[in-house]
Amino acid sequence: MEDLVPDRPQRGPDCPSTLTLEALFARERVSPETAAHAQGCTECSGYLRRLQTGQGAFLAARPFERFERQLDRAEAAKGQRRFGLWAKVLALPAVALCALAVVQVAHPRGEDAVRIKGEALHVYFERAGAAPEPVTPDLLLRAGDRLRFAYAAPSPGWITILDKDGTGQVSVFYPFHAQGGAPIQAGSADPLPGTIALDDARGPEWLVAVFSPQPIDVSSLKTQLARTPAGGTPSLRCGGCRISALRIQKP
Amino acid sequence: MSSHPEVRLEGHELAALYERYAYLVHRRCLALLGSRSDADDALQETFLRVRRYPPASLPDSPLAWLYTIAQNCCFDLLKRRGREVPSGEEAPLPEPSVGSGQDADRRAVLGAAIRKLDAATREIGLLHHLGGLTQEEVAEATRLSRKTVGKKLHLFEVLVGNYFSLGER
Repeated sequence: MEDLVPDRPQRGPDCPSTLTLEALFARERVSPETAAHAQGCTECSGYLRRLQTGQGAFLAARPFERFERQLDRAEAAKGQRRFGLWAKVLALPAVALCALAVVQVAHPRGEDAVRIKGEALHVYFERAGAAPEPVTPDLLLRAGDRLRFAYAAPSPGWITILDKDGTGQVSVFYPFHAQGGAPIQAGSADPLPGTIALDDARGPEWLVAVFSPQPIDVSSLKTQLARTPAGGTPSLRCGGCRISALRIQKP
Repeated sequence: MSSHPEVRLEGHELAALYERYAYLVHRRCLALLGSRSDADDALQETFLRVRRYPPASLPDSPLAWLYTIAQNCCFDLLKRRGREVPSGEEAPLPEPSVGSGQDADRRAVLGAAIRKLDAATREIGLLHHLGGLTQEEVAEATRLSRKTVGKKLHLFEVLVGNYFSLGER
């Protein structure tokens, strides 16, 4: 069989492991004794020289700039496949998707209401290397899972998505840096930009979407959400808003 | 803050990792997959994952961390390209081709063998046979007993020994 990998050194009683030599080669921290031995040992120093030669040839043939372009192309291709999956999922009838249950609609009298019919917030999660899947009520998720949101609103307005985790901490999931929520156009079912990685806070966690005809007072909503009793369904007051909430579980 | 938006490793950080580690990672993939084109794919997937899911801070030993990611990419690739063993069937492992000229067969057999091993056994096998660690060092690294390491190593060697030229040791 063709030897595709340079010979590993014969390890003497005082020699470090191949893994340690490779760490030394990569300029990671090793003990001074190990470094001194590797310099003076014929087998170990020979291995390091072979690695040096091999790396030189490798990087000459595969410069980082070219490699980065290959990464970009590969990621774009994956994104198209993943977006294709999103599109297929979003194309399913809303009733077939376990989207959010509307738990509260605030329509104070005399105030403009968001006349939205049939809007739905859809939440999906993805794990490294796997296709996105819809988030269903009380779905068990874990730290590191990435959430992505999509919506289809028949009327223009503003949207924000809040999160209250099992420790009671409230965060703004979308839009991450903007105050007042993000404007939404009518008729688009595209995924909202960006994803959110779940942390390791355990327990039930609420995802709360707020639609409004005007920019949203996000600070007030965060305060209200933080005051919701632990374990209780989120209850928010927001003039003219429509509120949807979905609970997930992180054991 | 309970969670964080998408943060990617970009530009100079990725370039620095690539310059220091890509060659070593590629060698590891080559040892596992036996094919340059497959190793190229696995290297690319490794750095895609690193770029897309960077840690909050680099671990103390980035090499060990990158090897773990790369090995997982290799195993995923073997699973995708190998012949599937139908669930519920204990199909015997086919004999590898003598001289290993048929990479597809080799990958299929290695893939089937890898699938039979749990993650701990795979890690032990690779630390010993690719990382060159003694069984005592493997025990220290994995915090398993020396006895457990010995048993798992034996299982690893029974299933995949032919593919890492273990007979030459």
